[in-house]
Amino acid sequence: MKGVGTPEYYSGADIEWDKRRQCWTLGAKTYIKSVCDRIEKLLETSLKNTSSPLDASDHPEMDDTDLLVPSEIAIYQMMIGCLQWAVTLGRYDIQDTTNTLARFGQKPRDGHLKRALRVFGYLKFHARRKLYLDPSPISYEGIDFKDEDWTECYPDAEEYIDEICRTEG
Amino acid sequence: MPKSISTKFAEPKVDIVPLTVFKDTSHATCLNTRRSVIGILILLGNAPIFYYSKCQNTVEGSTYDSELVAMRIAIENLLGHRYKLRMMGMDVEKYSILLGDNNSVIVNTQLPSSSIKKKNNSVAFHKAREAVAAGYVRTGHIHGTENPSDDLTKAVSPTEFCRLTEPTLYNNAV
Repeated sequence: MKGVGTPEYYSGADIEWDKRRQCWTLGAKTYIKSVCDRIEKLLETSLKNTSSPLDASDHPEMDDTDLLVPSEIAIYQMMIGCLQWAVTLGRYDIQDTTNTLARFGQKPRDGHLKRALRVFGYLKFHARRKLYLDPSPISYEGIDFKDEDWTECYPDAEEYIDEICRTEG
Repeated sequence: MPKSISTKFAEPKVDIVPLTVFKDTSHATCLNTRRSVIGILILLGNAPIFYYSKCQNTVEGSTYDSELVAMRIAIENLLGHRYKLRMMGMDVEKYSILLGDNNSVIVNTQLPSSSIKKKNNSVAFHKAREAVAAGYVRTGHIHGTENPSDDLTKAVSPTEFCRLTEPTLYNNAV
């Protein structure tokens, strides 16, 4: 029986071997490219480059722009669905923004649609980011471990606990 | 399957699997409901295997309370992953590292200096305390700006965003 070859692409996920870090990577470049093209055609707009998916201290729940019409709501829900699949494919950098915007799936506003477009703009220009599944050990330098234990704080605590266990069954 | 691929799978890079959990909470982020958002990132070595970002189900009165709830959820997910990895035949490290940026929660899992009156928080506290006493979790404190789960809880500035996602999502990281 013939082998199926090197794993490369499955359900939108690009699976690659990274020579530099010597590990497998899981990305969504192909999926993001196709979905961004589709949205640009659908909304007849061009996505702009941003360096983060959502502005710091931006609160979409405080948005009071006009409500979207039903045809736009369907597009918004489709966009959120696409973002959620991108998160599943390893793009956890947009997970918080996606979850925040998904709360308005039933009653989105114009501002929410613009924010979703901003996320797609971020994705389009940062499509190469991917999960590096590098199992080499992490460094714990500079981390303040709290290794005291409750019983160590009181030298006779263990005897005391034993006594309680004996007397109270 | 080509020979080169099969050898890559056959030789494990680590003998004992080290798990690290980063957890963070953004207290009362949602201005409509005043619920907090939890962010949890579980790393196997340097590889992210689990990421979680979600509104909490309860409205908490203080940062400490919402951090406790986040700690409980982090420990529950960690237990699940430890069990799954053991079922796959991997040798999981005796204890996993749990790192957070709220010092009082981290300290209270090791030192008896808290009184918790609300039932949900009391349960969450004892869940965390049990994990530390049983020895499968070792807690540690890191600075908030070094916590990679920070961008799972709130929108951060572009420079901070790049720095937090760098170790796992960029090619130029070490």
